[in-house]
Amino acid sequence: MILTGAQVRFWLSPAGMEALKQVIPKSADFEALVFEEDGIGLWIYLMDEGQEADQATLLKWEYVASARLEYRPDAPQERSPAGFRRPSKC
Amino acid sequence: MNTSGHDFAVNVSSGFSNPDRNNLSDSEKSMASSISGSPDVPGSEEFFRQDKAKYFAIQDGIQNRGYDLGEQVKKVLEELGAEYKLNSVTWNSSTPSWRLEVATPSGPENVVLSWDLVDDVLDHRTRSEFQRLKNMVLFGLGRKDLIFKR
Repeated sequence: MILTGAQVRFWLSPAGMEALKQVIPKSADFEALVFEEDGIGLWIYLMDEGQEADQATLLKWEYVASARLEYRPDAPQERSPAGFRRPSKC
Repeated sequence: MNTSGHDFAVNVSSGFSNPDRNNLSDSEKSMASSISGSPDVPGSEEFFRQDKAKYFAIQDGIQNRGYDLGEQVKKVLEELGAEYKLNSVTWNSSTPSWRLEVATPSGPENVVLSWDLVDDVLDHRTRSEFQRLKNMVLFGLGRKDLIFKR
């Protein structure tokens, strides 16, 4: 699943809590916007009032215990007929 | 610059210095013969012309995608107010990514979107995908306050 652009709630692993206690001191879970992702981890923006406006944070994959994001099913879009017609009765 | 009835431009480089789709320039004829190894190989110019036409057809598809993207971005900008206006959408084939140039109250701003995000949005067209696009546009314009607003 591609997370770029998604608002995600993360839960840190014990190693993540230890490693990021300076960066995310409040709790083991937090909400963030993912704006870049690669093999190392996710570049996130934390909505924290105490954070400076444009600080980005790297969240390594190994520090993520779980994640949750909103999923809303969509109704299928109406499509025009492909051109098949019901055969007429003889 | 190409606007094709839209109020923003979509820029897609063709990669050809000669924009004529049907006729080859002298340098293209020379290139065609050098690729074939000999100017005497029959049909080398025709092969080149066909390849050029295929390449332009691909570029047309990318350009249409740019217009589709631009229209979706305009919907996001409308929510921000009349001071925000999409000026252009530019495809960068080397990155590969889309660059949006947006007029804002503090001057023009660039927003860069990766090709895979844009393809997801335009192909799937679900609310979740449109929300991802919206978040990235707001993030790129420094309007993070609106992303986390509930």
